[in-house]
Amino acid sequence: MAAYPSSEDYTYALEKPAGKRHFKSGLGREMLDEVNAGSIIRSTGSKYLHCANGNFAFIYKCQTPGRLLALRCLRSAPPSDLAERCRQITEFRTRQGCKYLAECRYFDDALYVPIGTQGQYYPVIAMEWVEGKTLLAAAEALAKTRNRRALKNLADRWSTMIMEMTAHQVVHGDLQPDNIHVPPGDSSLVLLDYDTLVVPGFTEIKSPGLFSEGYVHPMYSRSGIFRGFDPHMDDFGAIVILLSLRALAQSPEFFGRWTTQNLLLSHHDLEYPDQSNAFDVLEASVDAQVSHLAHALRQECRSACETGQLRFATCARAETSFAFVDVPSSLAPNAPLILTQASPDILGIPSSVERLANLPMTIDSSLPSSTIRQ
Amino acid sequence: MAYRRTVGSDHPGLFVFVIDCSGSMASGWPGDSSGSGLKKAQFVCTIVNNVIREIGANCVGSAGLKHRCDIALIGYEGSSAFNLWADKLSGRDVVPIPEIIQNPLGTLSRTEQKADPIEGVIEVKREYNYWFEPKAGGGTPMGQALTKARHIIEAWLQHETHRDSFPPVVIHITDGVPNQTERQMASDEANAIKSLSTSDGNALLITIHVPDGYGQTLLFPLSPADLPAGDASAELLYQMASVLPNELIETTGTLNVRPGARLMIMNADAMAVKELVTWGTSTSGATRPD
Repeated sequence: MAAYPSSEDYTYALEKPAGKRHFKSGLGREMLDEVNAGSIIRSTGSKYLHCANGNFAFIYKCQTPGRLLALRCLRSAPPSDLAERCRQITEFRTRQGCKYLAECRYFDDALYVPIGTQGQYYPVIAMEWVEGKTLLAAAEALAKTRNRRALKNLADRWSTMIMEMTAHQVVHGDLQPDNIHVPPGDSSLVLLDYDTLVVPGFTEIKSPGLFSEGYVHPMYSRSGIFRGFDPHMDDFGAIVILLSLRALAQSPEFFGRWTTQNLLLSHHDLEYPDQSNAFDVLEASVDAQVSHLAHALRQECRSACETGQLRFATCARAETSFAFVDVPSSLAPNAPLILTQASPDILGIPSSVERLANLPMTIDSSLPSSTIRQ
Repeated sequence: MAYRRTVGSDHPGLFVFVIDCSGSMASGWPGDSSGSGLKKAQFVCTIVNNVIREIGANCVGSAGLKHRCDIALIGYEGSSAFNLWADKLSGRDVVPIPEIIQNPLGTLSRTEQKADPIEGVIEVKREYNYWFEPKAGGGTPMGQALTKARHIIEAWLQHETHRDSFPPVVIHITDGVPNQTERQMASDEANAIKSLSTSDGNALLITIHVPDGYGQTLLFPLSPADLPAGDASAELLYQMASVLPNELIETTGTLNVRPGARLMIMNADAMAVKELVTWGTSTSGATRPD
């Protein structure tokens, strides 16, 4: 497999003056002309031109004459389905009006990048730049100013987005707070990094497995086994983040107490739940939602560590649809599970998000079919 | 399962570069036909500076540089081992990567040939930050250098945040053979280092012998039978190097390391040296494999 450029190679290609970069333009590739006419914005305090890096790409921020764009320059050959997946994501976004997805365009043979004396055109992904902070940075800023109300709002926005994604059957594949953007105001959170994101129609992804420590089920992180595509691969991370935000809304001083990398919990808490001071504290929370979520999550981690069984995946293999359901505050602290089945008519209706959130329900995963009891 | 952790700010990695700065490192790289006149010390320095820059590039995050790993830089020559960090980082044993990137020793201007879609190949001037300069002095106190590396690793392992980290990786680059006393010490210290561990496995010690122009190339020997007969230097480096852990076999790619082989190369060309240094930092996700 041919080598892919390093960040220094991409930087060389992109730091040329506006209009002088070697993009392959053409019909339908106007976004590349836009990038070429723009300037790459260096992050403050960094010695590098790229402003972030992910598992699959270096990300450059570009101010074009009309807007801000993110240019994702790939670190290795893209999975064979990436171009088609990007096309379908953008189409799905437009059709469904998904506010949690950003415009995303894949361009083959887009940017000429030399690696020494050998050069060729490499693909890039151009995306609209979402103003605001990443979820991690936003939560940190709010926690430091003890802004409980805004943290609660963030948790609610998180819950709403996850339920919308569930209703739309959109799977991100690497849910972690650096991949989520928080726009100013009250608008929807926005997912970033679509290297493993799928919209309905895709039943697998041809990408390597991801392990964002602190958001991946301990069964995976402990074994290092690639989990493959699973329609419920987001569930664990979604619940970890929900618990984190709900707990921070209750006790902002928890930020940074148990982790410097994640929102609230470290990989160690998830992998060694019985040794976790964080779980002890959260389970004892006066906030019923927090204590319930903490209890359920700890049980999940515990059982995965003891038995190697993955309950969430077991749920996912069932034929019926499942919904991610936020835990209403009226729920008893020892209610058993977070994930449950929901009837398709609830899932299919956009307003179901509100309905689900407002239902005074209890949840029991042991029931085979209709498991929402009012 | 060991060696599954990637570097992260909750569990940073540690890379310890141990670099031979003895007099022989001032000689040219045998077989170098580029006419560049690059000295071995200079070449090793360039490789390590490049890999530091690349580790930094992988730590760029939306809120600045992330503290995903620490680096120690030990040189040895004359009668002692010492930290190679200079200027603002002078005297430090272990430095977090964000601090390293923010405090380069200087900027080096290099003329490079670059492919260009219109003009073919063009010459461009590029500037690179660097953190230490080539050095080549007297003897080969290898044992002392490894003692220093062990002390650094032991102190680093005391921190609670490092208990689950990818284990420390020591990359030892030398072109020489120490005297008998240092040899025994180096061997003992290498064993001591390899016995240090985190919950993610034992520390890895990679030995890279840069060529003296005489010996045969030897890549990742599987057993002492692969070593040139009666070569004390080869025996020492073989004994010092870690065995490739089974968990990392799939990461070795084009290096072609056989299962059970030692992480050691001798008299290899410059490209092989660069590849192995890069591999040493890529296994934990601090860089990407070539």
